[in-house]
Amino acid sequence: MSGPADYKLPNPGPRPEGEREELLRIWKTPGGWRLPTAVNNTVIGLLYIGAAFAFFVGAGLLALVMRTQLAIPENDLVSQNLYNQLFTVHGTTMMFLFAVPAMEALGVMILPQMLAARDLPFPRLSAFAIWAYVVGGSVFFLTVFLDLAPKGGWFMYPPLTLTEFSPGDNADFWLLGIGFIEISAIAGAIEIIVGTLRTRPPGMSIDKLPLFGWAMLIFAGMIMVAFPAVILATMLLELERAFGWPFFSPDGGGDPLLWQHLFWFFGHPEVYIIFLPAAGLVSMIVPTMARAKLVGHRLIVVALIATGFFSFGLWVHHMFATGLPALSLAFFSAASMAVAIPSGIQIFSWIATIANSKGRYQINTPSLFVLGMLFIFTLGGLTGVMVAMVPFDLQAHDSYFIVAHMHYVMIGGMVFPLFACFYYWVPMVAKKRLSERLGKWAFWLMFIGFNVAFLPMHLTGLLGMPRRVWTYPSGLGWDNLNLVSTVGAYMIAAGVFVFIVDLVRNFRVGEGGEPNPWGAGTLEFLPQDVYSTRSIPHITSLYPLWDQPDLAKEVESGQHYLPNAPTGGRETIVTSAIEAKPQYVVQMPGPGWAHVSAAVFTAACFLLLTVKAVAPAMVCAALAIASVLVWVWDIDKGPDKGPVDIGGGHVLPVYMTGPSAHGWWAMIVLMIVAGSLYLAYLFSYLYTWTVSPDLWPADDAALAALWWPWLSAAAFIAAAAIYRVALRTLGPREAKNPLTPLLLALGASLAAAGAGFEIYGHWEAGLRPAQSSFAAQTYMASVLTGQLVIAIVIMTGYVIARHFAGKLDKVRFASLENTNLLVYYMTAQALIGLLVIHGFPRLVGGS
Amino acid sequence: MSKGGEQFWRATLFSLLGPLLWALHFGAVYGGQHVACAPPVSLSPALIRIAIVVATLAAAAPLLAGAVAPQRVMNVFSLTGYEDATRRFLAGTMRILCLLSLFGVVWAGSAALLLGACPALR
Repeated sequence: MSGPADYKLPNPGPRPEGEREELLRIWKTPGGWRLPTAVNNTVIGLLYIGAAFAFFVGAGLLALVMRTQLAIPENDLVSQNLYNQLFTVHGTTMMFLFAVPAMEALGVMILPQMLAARDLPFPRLSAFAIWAYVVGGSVFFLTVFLDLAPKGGWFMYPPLTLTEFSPGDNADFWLLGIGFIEISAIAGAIEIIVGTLRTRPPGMSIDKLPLFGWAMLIFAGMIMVAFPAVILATMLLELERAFGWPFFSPDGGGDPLLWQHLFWFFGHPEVYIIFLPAAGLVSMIVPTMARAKLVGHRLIVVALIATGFFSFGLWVHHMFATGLPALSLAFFSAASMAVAIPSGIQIFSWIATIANSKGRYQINTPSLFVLGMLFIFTLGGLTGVMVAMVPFDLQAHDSYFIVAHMHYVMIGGMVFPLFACFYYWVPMVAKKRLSERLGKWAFWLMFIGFNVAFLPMHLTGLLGMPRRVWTYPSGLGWDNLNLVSTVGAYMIAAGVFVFIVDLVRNFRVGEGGEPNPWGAGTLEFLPQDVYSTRSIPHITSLYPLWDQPDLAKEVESGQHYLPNAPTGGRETIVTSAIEAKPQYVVQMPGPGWAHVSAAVFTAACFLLLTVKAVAPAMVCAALAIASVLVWVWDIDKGPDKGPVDIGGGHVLPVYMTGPSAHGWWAMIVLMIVAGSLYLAYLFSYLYTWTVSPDLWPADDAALAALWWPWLSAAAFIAAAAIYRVALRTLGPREAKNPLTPLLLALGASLAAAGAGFEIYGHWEAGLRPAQSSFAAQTYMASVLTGQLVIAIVIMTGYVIARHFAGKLDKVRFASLENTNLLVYYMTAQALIGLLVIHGFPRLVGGS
Repeated sequence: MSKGGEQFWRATLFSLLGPLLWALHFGAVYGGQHVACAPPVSLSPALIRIAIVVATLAAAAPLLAGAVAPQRVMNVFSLTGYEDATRRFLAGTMRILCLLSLFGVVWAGSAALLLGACPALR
C-alpha cells in the first residue's frame, strides 16, 4: 500500500469479474462514421490539438510567402493587397486559431488524465467548442485563398477597418468569425475552470494541484476576463460597419482609440494567456527530466497568479505612441516592468531545479525544447523590458524590432514548450514514443532557424524598417538582414517538416505503450484506457508516482475510488474545491450528434451573417438552438441511481443542486464572463463621454422620460421575484403544479417587457442609435441586456417543456435553478444599466 | 450558500487579496487620472497627484499587513477547518502575492511624484 502509514486503501479487496469490461463498454469510443459524435477527452483533445497544429502549419506557410517576398528589395512576388491579407491572416490564425486553442486542447486532453478524472465535467461542451472552432476556423482561414480575407492586421484598428476604408466583407470575416471563435474559447474555459476545481482526485487539495493545473486554471480565468473585452469591441465595430452606429468614427463623436483600449485589454493578457499554460507544461517536464522535485512550487503558483493579474495592467503598453498623458504611460510602464518579476521567478525556479539535479538532467528531445525555450523566451523578456520603457518604445514602435520581440516571446514562450509537450506526452495517447533522432533534428533546425530568422530583425527594426510593409527599396541597409531572416524562416519550416515526418512515421494512437517512459511523478502517467484510470486514486503528495510507489498497481487493480460504474453510465467523482473531499458522483453524457450539429449551425449562422445572408443565418440560429436543447434534454438525470458506494466509506449521491453542484459553478463562471463584458461596456460608455462630452444632452428633454426606466426596472425586479416564486411552486416527483409554467411564462414576458420599455423610451424621445456616439452607447446597454433576455426566454421555454415532460420537480430542478441564476444576474445588470444610462447624463448634463 | 462554497469564496478572496488590491489601485489611479484630466472634468493637477499618492498609501497599508501578518489576515477571513498544509499554502501564497502587489502599487503610484498629472510626452 502506498501513502502515509495511517492511510487505508479505499477498496482493498479483489474486484468482481467483468468490472473492467463494463467500463470499456461504457467509455468505448464510437467508430467509423460515428467518430464525430465522440466526447471522450482524449479523442476530442486529439482532434483539437490536431486542428490547432494544422492551423499552425497553414499560418506558417503564409509566413514563408511573406518572408520570400521580403527576401530581396522591390520584390513583386505578391501584391500589396495580398500581402496585407497574408499578414492579417497569419497573425489572426496564429493567435486565435493556433495558440489559444492549442493550449485549451492540452487542457482538455491532459487535465483529466493529470487529475485522474474519467473526463472533464461537461464533455459535450468541450466537443461543441472544438467542432465550432474547427468549422468556423477553417472557413476563416480559407478566405485568404479567395481574396476575401481581412487586411487590417490581427488587431484590426479602426478607422482603417471602418466601412469607408475597408469596404466589402473582408473585415466582417474577422469580426464575426473571430468573435464567434472567442465564444468557443470561453466555453472551453468554463470547462477547464470547473474541471480543475471540482474533479480533482480525493486528497489532491489545492496545495497538491500540479502546476499545469494551476496554469490552466489561471489561463481560463484570464480568458473569462480578457475575451469579453474583445467580444464587445467586435460587436461595436460590426454594429458600426453594418448599421452606422458611430462608436469609433470621430465624425459621430466616437474615437478609434476606444478600439485600441478594448482590443489591448484583451490583446496583452492574450500573450500571457498563451504563455502561462506553456510555463505550466515546462514546470511539469523539468522535474521529470531533472529527477528532482521542482524548486519553489509555491513560488511558481504565486508567479502564475501574479502574472495573470499584472498582465491586465499592460494594455496601454501597446499605445505608448498615441499621445496619452505621460503619467498614464508611467502606470503601464511600471506594470510592464513589474510583470517581469513573476516571469523571472519561474525562469530561476526551472534553472534551480535543473541545477539541483546534480548532473542527472536528461538531455532528450523534450528537455532540449525546454532549454531552447529558456534561452529564447528570456531574450524576448529582456527586449520586453526594453519596450516597457516609454522613450525606447517611442523609437522602436511599429518597427521590425517589435516583430522580433513578439516572436521571441511567443515562439519561445509557447511554441517551443508545445513541441516539448508533444514529445513528452505522446506516450500517454500513443503506442510508442516519437523518434529521438528526428526530434533532435527538428529541435536544432527550429532553434537555429528561429535565431537566424528573428535575431537580425532587432537590427532591421533599429535601422528603421517599419512593420507590415510589403516591400522596401534597396540601399537602406536592410537587404542582407532580410535575406538572412528569410533563410532562417525556411530552416524553421524544415524543422517543422521533420516533426511532421516523425508524426507520420511514428505516431499511432492507441494503448499498449510504455506506461511511464520518462519516470514522471504525476498522474497522467498512470496506466490509462478509454475510461482514464481503472480507479480514481487517493493522493497524498505533489508527485504521487514518486512518493506512492505502489500507486500504479493499486489503481490498475481497482483498489482506489470508483473502480466500477455504479450508475451504469459515464461518471466521475466531484470533490470540494479546496480540499478535494468527495462530494458526489456526476453522471455525464456520452456520444451524440446534437452538440456536433449545434456547432456546425452556430458556425454557419455567424458565417452567413458575415456575407449578409440574414434569413439563412436565422434558420441556422434556430437549428443551432434546437440542437442545444436536444443535447441538454437528458443531462439533468436526477438522483434515482444513487447513492453509490465509491469505496473508503464514501457513499455519495449521484445528483446535486445548489452551490455544490458543478452546473451551478459553470453558471457562476458564465455570469463572471457576462459581468466582464458589461464592465467593458461601462468603460466604453464613460470613455466616450470623456472624448465627446458635448454630445451628452444638456437638458432632460432630449432623454427618455424617467417613468420609462422606472417601468423597466419594475418589470425586471418583478421577473426575478416571479422566477424565485416559481422555483418554490415545484411539486413532488412526477406531480405537476400548473402554476409553475404560468409563472415562468409570466417571468419571461416581464423580462422581455423590461427590455422593450427601455428601448421604446429612447425611441420615443427621438434618440436614434446612428445619430451620435452618445446615442449608440445608450442603445448598446439595451443590446447587451436584450441578448440576456433572449437567452432567458429560450431557457424558460426549455424549462416549461421539461415541466410538461415530467422532468421538473422538487428533486430534479437544476435546469430551473440555473435559469434563475441567469435571471438574477440579468436583473442586476439591467438595473445598473438603467442607473447609468438615465442617471449619468442627468448628472453631467450640459458639461 | 453551502458552508464549503462560502469557505471557497473566502479562501479565494484571501489568497488573491494582494492582486485584487493591486487591480483596484491600478483601476482607480488610471481611471481616476484619465477622467480627472479629461476636458469635461479638468481637475487641478496638484489635486490629481495628491489623490494618486493617497490612493497608493491606502492600497499599500493592507498589502503591507498581508505581507507582514498573514495569519492575522487569515483570521479576519475566518478560514478554519483546513488541514495545516493547506492553511500554510494559502497563507504563504497570499503573503508573497501581497509583497509583489505592494511592489507594483508603489511603483505605479510613485510616478505621481515625478511626472505632471496630465501633459503628454513631447
